[in-house]
Amino acid sequence: MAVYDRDATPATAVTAFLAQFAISAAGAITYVSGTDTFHVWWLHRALQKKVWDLTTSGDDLLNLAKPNPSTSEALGTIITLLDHTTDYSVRYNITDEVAESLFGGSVEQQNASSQTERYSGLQVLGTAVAGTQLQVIQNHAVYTSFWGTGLNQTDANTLLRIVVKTIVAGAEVDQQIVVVKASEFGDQYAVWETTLGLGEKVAAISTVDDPNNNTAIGTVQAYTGYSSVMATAEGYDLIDVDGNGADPFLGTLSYAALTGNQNKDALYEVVKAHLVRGTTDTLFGIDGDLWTSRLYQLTVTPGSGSQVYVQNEVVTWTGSGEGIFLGADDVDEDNTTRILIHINKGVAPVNTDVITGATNSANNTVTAAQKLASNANYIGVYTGTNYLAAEGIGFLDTELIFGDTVKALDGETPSVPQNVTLSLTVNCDASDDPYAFLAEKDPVLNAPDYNKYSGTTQGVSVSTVIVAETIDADEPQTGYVGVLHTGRTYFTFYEYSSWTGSTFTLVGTTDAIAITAGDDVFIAFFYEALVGTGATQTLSNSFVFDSGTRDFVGWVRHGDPAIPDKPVAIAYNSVGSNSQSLTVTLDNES
Amino acid sequence: MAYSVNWTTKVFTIPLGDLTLVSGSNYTLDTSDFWIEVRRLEASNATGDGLYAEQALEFINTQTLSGIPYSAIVKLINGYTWDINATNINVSLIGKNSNLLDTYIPGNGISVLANNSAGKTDDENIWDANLVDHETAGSFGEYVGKQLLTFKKFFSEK
Repeated sequence: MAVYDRDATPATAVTAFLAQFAISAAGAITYVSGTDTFHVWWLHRALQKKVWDLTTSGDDLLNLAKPNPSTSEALGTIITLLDHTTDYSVRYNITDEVAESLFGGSVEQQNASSQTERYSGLQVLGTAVAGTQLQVIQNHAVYTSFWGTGLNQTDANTLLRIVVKTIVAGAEVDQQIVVVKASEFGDQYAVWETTLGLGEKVAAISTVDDPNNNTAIGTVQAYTGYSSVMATAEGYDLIDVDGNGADPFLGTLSYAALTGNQNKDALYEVVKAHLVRGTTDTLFGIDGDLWTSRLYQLTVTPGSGSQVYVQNEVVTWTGSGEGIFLGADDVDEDNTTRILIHINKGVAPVNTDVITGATNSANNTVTAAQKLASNANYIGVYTGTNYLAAEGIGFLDTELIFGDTVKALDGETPSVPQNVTLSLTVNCDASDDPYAFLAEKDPVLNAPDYNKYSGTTQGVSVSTVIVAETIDADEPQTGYVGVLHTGRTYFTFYEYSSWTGSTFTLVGTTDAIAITAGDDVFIAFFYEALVGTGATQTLSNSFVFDSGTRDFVGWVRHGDPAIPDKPVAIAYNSVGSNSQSLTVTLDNES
Repeated sequence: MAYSVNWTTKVFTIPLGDLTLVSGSNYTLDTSDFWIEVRRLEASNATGDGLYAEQALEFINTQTLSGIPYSAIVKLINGYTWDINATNINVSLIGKNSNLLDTYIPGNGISVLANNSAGKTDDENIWDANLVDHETAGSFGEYVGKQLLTFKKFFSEK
């Protein structure tokens, strides 16, 4: 197989072209045999050569008596085959099969109905992992590949050069838009949209090995819950990532369904598996092969009807645009202000375009369109520890960890708190029900800091405990606040569900006793029974790291009247930004 | 009834009902009961209990030294004390060795009588031991064994 680029030796290239193709007296150029490929320039030159000859030869039935077959523009990259049907009954044209051997420019011709047809040049530049089979998506369908792992790689930076039929019977195929994809499992994915036309247009693709995608695809596809995970991607969700209020996201991806593989690695690979080349899996109802990552957020004017959009339905808009409805802040067109779509065909909607759902004809008028900074693999970059999520992609907040980066649809970039978890494991008799207490250590004493805060005056049976100080940023998000009420000889502990400023919001209410200004108040990280039953029981609590280090002291006790255990002191020392765990063993006291 | 505790002043108060009446105004307090109840209180997160509080009691189990099992010790620590919610009674401490006499808050006409003795042994272990262990020639066990009046001796001497 030889590749005859624009700079090939003319005599050699023309001879090879004429050997591989036949030219009828009526101008039909057809494939005969051979595997060589040719710059479109050599189509033009071969035809010109034949009509320059005095006699025909072999299966090329042209000679000087025939009308001009073609024209060339732009240095031989725009070839037009001429139609002389009226005067000479000759119409020069190539077949789709011939086109598979051409590259480097466009070839335009007329069909039998005098309608324009065009093959447009497509050059894919970049680098890809060996063995990558590029895909070309046109008009929401896979363009049948004849290029395997690459074709016409005329230089080191070229992955593929072909011509793609972009005008058929006088009509542009999807406005001559194509999307080039590389989605081989184990590699990073890439996608590039380009609009073809006359000459040769370029798409850029770059892939490298994905170090966090090493599991065999068959294994991933066999995960329990594989087929249900992507449902969590669908829709418009509000997620509170940083604890400071919810932000809008597209879906709430979660690995919770992946029983036995409930981790970020698995979720990342499952998402990629749904979009791998050749898949039949879907994302938002779109076949993974046809997922082109062209995601748009549309600001729309609430409508006047009462129809609703349907998840994953087809939507259309002015200008032959077609896409899939991914989500909306409200599916009722009356209340819709924000719509998310994946473009299947056409170009993105613009201001004043009307978006219409196929199911119920719900419609809204676009006032602004924003292209999301999407990733070819949908989910975004994964480092093996952290997500660098594509814009707008939502995750279950409890599955995010410090270092994960997300960007909400409203442009906010909420930070995932740096949670520090103190974990306790207690080995004991299977029948034991031990309790644990843990609190921040007193700055001086080797004892809990029982008077870290001071209460403020509050009535009885209230749902908050308000302290005189600003609550430290690194107090646990949930826990127990202990209050030494004036008039009581013991601390009373109230479980709280959140806090802000100087106020702890309680799960219930305080006792029927007031809080007096100056009452000692402190936070217990643990003040409860261990979780679980049997010989190993656990407990944990988290806080958001702020700065510095702290020490914690406490104990595990089991005061069973039948068989008490020796109390065991526990301590977490120099707790900074890293979580700590501790294991203790209870011994019977007698 | 149950003990009441002032976890702030570290005082356990035992109700009269938790003492064992012997006769008149004489009562006993089994230090084992005291140990169990304090352990329960300091391991509970019920309102008024002391899961959060500093450890109140140390228990040192039976020790065997030179073949002799010594009694366990119940010891109030970390500044905890105790008293009794009663007046004008006598309370004898029984059971395990303890420092309860030292940590008692005197008053209300109450007398507390300690049962501690230097080198108090674990009587139960002795009485439960096999006789074979107490027949060494010249030992106290051998002597006691010989002094016991059995039926056989009684009828043979009659």
